[in-house]
Amino acid sequence: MEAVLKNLESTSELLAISETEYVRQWNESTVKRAFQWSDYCEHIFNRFNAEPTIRTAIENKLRHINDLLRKTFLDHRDLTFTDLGRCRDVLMERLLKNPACPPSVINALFGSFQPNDGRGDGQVFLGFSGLRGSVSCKSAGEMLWATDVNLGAKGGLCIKDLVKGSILREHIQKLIPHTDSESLIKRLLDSISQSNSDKDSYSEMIAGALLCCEDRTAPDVTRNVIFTWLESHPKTLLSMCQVLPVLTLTELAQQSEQFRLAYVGILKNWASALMYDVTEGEWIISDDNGVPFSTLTEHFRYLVTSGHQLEAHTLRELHELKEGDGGFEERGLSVWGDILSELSMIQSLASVS
Amino acid sequence: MKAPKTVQRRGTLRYAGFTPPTVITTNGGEARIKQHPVCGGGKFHLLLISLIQQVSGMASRDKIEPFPKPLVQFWMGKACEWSEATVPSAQLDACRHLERLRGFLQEVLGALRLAASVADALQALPFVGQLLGRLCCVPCVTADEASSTLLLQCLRSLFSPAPQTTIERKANDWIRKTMCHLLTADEERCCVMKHVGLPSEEYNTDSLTKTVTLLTEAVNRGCGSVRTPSERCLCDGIHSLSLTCIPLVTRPEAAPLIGALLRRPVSCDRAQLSEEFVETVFTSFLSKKLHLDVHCAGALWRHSLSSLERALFHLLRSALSLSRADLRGLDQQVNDSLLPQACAQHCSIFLVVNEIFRSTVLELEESAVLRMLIQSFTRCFLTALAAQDPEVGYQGHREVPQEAWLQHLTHVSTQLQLATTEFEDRDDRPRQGHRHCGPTVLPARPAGLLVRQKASISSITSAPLTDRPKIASLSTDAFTTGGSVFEVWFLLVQGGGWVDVAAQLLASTEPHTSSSSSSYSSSSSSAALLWLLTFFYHPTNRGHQRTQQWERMQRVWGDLRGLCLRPVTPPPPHPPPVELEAVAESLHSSSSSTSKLLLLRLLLNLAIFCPSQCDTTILQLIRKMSEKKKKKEEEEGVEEEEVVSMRREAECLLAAVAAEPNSGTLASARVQARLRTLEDTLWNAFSQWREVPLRSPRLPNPPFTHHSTPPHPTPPLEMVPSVSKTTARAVAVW
Repeated sequence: MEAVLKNLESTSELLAISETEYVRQWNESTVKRAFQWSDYCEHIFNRFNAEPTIRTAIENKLRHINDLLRKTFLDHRDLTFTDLGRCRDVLMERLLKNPACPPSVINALFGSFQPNDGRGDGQVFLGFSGLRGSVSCKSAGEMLWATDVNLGAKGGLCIKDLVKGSILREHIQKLIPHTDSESLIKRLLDSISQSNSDKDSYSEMIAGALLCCEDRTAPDVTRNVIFTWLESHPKTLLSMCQVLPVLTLTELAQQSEQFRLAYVGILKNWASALMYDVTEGEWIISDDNGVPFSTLTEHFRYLVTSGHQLEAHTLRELHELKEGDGGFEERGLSVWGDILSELSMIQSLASVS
Repeated sequence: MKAPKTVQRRGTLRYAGFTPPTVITTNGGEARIKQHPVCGGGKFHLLLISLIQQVSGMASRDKIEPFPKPLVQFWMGKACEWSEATVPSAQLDACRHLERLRGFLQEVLGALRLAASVADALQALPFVGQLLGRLCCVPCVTADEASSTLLLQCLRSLFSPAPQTTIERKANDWIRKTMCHLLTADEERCCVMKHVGLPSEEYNTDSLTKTVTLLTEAVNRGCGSVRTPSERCLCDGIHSLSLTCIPLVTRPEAAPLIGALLRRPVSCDRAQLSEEFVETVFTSFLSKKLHLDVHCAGALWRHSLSSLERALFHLLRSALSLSRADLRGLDQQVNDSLLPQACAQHCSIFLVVNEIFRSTVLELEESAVLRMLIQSFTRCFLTALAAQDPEVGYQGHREVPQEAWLQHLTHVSTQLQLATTEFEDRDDRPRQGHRHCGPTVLPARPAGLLVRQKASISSITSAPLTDRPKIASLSTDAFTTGGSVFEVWFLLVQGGGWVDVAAQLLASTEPHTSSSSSSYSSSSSSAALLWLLTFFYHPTNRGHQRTQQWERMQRVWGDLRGLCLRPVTPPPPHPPPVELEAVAESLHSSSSSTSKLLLLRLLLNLAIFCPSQCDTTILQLIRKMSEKKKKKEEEEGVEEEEVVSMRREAECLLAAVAAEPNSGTLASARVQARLRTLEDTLWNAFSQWREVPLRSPRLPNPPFTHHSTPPHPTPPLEMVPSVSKTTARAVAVW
């Protein structure tokens, strides 16, 4: 273990240097060794990704190394445990983004993933043979994501979110059989929900992970794990309800009673933040947490047209809430009563058309 | 440094008429280019121009032929349009231009590689930096593996491992950034990868596979699940999806989606596939870059009739240009084309293929290879049919006992004689209105399947799919009558094994010693077999003069029998030279080329299957023929073709015999030994007739009009100018 940690320390230093001025001193053989060490790190990641004890030890070591490197190099970017899994990518990116990287090194990089075109420097680095194919693979995926194909009943999510969600789901599935998988999955989902880079897209990704599987009504361990995690993260849940399409939320409510309760709870909070303006004759938002009356009605409209069980549940609950407010038919007395009358109006309109 | 002449030979010579663009063209896109985030093309580009102008005095100007201005303008315009557009239609336009773009990039790469230095390259091709930079930002272009490889190779050609000048350093810097854009993931994509520690290569493949799965499900779902008319039809977007798939056609990850698109039933008018997509799939399939299963291939051919015609013509062409007849190789080729299997699955495909074979056989009646191909095709088709429906048992020739064969073929021959006489009698009588086709003259056994196949054809002719002109309707009423004879004859061509067996049986008949009743029946069945063979080579009395040939064949066969099947045992090892000469002379007197082919068949079968050892005699006869040929050949060039066709015939006959090694009816060891001797000796004999290079024969036009798909702008084969003329000439014989 000591040796592994020592090696990781050297590779971290190597990667730190790759984005500094000092990379000028590198030549082809230096960079070849750097890629071989990066490859080693990827092996380490795959070996210990699901081993909580060793993983923690490595993470502690990395934290320590990062602290030291930050003192040495001002613009140092921390190397995380998951970075180890894609270490060659990290190195490649750092080299290509570094203007100090010597042309001979860039030229060698070119040579490593191009077909041997008679220049004599074909396969210099290990493991780059598929990179050319990967370039077109990436673009191919992007092109297909942009196509205007109706995916049918997929909870209103686009292909991109479903694909990302599906990759996340697979990763969680791999972690489940391991001991202490709960904490590993929790850490993974925490890191996703806390990532600053794309605040909005984690909701879609998580929803994608929940909706991507074929049989969405069968009991599923992975899904339950994610729902349980969501239950203990009300902020994430709230932002999901704010961001995701209503159709997606309805689908999720159909899948899990846990989610349905939490979702309806949020809807109740939004409703309680509405106040009736007598002069305007409208429900208005009284504090920052609310949503407009029309949005709230939209959420309930999807819930009451989704299917038998969810529909019946929601209607019963709405009626109970209306009764709790006194059961008046007069507009402006109970938000629930008004939502119900709004819904019945939409329904009668729909049946007429 | 390489000579500029090489460039000219590569095809740039045609651009020589254009003046070299010393000043950069200021097309519409120029001003906007500068703002582009990734390629930074404009800035770099303008910088390059100023640098080039500085160094232009130093650089020698005659290294690379400049590209023509309109061509460069065209591609620059396209690159700008594609890289800046946000609407999907621009991507689709890029998909349509992919193939031409590859060609252009290949030329650019060739020119870049000839350049002595980067400055030299940029001076000759001042547009190149901007063009490459922009193309690297077009997903449709980079999604195509060939294009992205070319782009990377071009970039590499512009990269200086040891930069000396400012321009080289600037170029390097820009190439580094472009590579970074191409190879590394953007922030959004990075997200999942970063959290789960997935390398980009794995992530890209994985995400493409998953995308393909999702889209395949959507495509397979069709529009059956649309509940209300207001709901968006699920077929929306299928056309543009098929266009988007053009760069992915040969990618294994995309195979399920390609298959789903092809197999999609065309029940909804919004679900049309783009022509370019179908064309790309077809050409990739023909060039073996794309593997399709039978279902997908069948679906493809039903989408585009022209692709079916081209697939069959591809098969015909490759079979006809085989350097030597090889039955197993041919079977393999036929099976690999997936056409027989698709025919077994889809009646419409079968009908089209059958019609093309018919019209081809009318043009190339004497081609033994074509007949062999049609036989091979029929065999593969029947096997596929039997595999599909076990109730339709397909019996090969081997399982049928010899007596049954003799009885069957005699019966066939007798029926055919009656039928042809009837047809021809009717044909001679003055015409009275519309004539009906002749009675079914086909035997019931063991041809049951073929009869059923024939029956199925005629039962389907009234089906809607056959509204294309049938070959029979190409000609006049006279042909319609002849058409019935043709049908029968074509059936013999398809089940060519019968004719092979007839020749074998004829050659292996024991010589009769007394005038018993059995000898009578034996001689009558021999006559029937001989008639069947004569009919096969001379089906009509119009061009083929069957009656005269039949009389001649009886005489010649009598002579040959006299020579080879003597009742005296053992026969003399060498027949008297006088007799041999006489027979050889009578063989030479054959007038038509088809009768020579028939004689060759008789001779070869005698040499292999004759109960008494007579191969020496036969070889002598063939040699005598070859001697005579030699003289004739010098006189007339026409003879050459005859020699080739005879050689082909011999090849095919021997190949057919060799392909049936376990023929239980015959002493196979003896047959094998004789076959080997014959093959060895015969090739020497034939090679003495001067090696004539085999030309791929001219194929007729596909006989059909395209109903669903418009004809492809460039016809796949060198077309005969008028179908009706050439086919009608061949048809007139019938």
